[in-house]
Amino acid sequence: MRTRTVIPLFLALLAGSGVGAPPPGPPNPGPGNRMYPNPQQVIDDPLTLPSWSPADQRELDEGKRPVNLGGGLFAPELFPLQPAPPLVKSSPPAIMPDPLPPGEGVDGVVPAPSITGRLGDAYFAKAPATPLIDPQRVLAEDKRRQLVDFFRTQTQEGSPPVHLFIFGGKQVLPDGVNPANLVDRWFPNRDAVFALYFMGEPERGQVIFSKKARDRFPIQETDPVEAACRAEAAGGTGAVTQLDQFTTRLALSLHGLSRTALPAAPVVAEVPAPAPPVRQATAPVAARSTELPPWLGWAAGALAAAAAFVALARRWRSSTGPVHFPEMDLVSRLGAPHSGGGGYVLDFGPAAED
Amino acid sequence: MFPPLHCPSCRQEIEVATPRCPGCGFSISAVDSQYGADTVVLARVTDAAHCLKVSEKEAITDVLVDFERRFPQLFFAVYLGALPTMNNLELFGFWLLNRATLEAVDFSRPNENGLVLVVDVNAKKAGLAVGYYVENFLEPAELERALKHIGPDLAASQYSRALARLSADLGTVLVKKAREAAKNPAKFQRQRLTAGADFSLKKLQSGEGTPSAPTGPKP
Repeated sequence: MRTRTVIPLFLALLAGSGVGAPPPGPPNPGPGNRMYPNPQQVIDDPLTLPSWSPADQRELDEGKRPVNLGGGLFAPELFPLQPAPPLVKSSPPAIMPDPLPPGEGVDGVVPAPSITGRLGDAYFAKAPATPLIDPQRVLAEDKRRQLVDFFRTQTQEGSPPVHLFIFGGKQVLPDGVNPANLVDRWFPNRDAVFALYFMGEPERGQVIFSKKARDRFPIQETDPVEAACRAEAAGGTGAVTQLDQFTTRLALSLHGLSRTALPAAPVVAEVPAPAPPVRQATAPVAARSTELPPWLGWAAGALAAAAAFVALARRWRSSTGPVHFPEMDLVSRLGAPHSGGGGYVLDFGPAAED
Repeated sequence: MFPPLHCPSCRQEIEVATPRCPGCGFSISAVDSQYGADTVVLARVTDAAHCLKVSEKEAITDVLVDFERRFPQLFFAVYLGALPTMNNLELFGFWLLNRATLEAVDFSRPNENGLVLVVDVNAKKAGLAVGYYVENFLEPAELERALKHIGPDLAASQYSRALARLSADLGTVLVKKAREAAKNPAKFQRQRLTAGADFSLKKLQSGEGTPSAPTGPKP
């Protein structure tokens, strides 16, 4: 099957490219020459095109047969049909409170009276992995992206990672949810700062440090952060402007803390651990660029091994190879040409009696 | 500082290039009159006492060949004999090293570069004589230590084991001294041939008479 389809195709290509064609001359009128028909005859003959069979035409119309691949011109072995790539899943939709309340109309703020059910899980079921937790899409998309970039940049510059929870102005935390307990449970071994912000009500904002952060930063510097953020936000007009002032003050405070704090302890694995690797989040860009490539360790180890081998080989050779002494001038004594009587005599037992 | 030299006959301390002992008047002619002034031919292992098995003799020969391979400037020979009324084995070693020609040793290793172990199997004595060149690197205390180390083997007539141990001990010392000498050769130059010294080894080896006066420098 393959031979029957490939050979004519190959010959047709050869004929089209002129390879193997007869030298130019008078047209060959021979009726039996199928390979090289009379050109004039080809021009004069009416062109007949193939047509779809009714069954194929129906499949084409129904979209079951791809165009140009259904007529059997190309062998399926040569041109297998490629499966269509799977559709890329779009980002999950926002989790909206149940039922969806009417909007407040302030900068995209969507109010929600209670944080329960799926919405409560979206906030508090697991440790946050991103700087911004806003499953209700309270903030507009541009604002969300701006805040995420802002906090990620701050983290890369050495500030403790911030997780900002955005809520509606009239929302309250569900019973049993204690952010201080959550941050200690989710991040027991690394710096983390939870910031809870209720749109339009900056006085309800909260800033909570993880236990590791509280150990790292002096308490007299962490305690005033929340009040400073609230005060800064209260001076603004508009919910989003207040949020901007709240987050800016928070970032500035954390930046100041990180400059005066002790170096961060090495991070160990965390139990929930859905967050991205802490090392990437906390290591400054400049520090990462100075890290040595891993192959350098192997190369240094190989060099050290080679040097040790050479040293051992030299030592072995010096311990087993010929040993030479320097030439010296000699003076004889006692008239003896070769030896002056140097030596030692040992009695190693009683003399045998004859 | 080199240890002092002694007369092999009376053990009195002597000068570096003295032609005869100032105390007893000893010189090579004294032992020549006793053992002969002619050259004698020795093998690497001379078993005049016929106390070695063939395998022992081969083992000792292997040890000595290995020693010479390790130290291409030196040679090591062994003489086992039942010497009659030998009062001073040191004198015999002294004479042997001066009058013997080692048949298996090439000319690049003169007798002053040699060590000869003489064992009197009847008197139960072993003497280790060294040439002028070797005594620059092996002090009497080191020879004593090496000989005492093989004393039990000699007493048990384990000659091949004794020679292997002796060769190893001396080799260790010689390697150490060779390294030191490579760094500081002057430290081992005990007998420097000065311009005014007319009593030199070369004259003796060329047969130019007997020494007349000690002119060499003091150690």
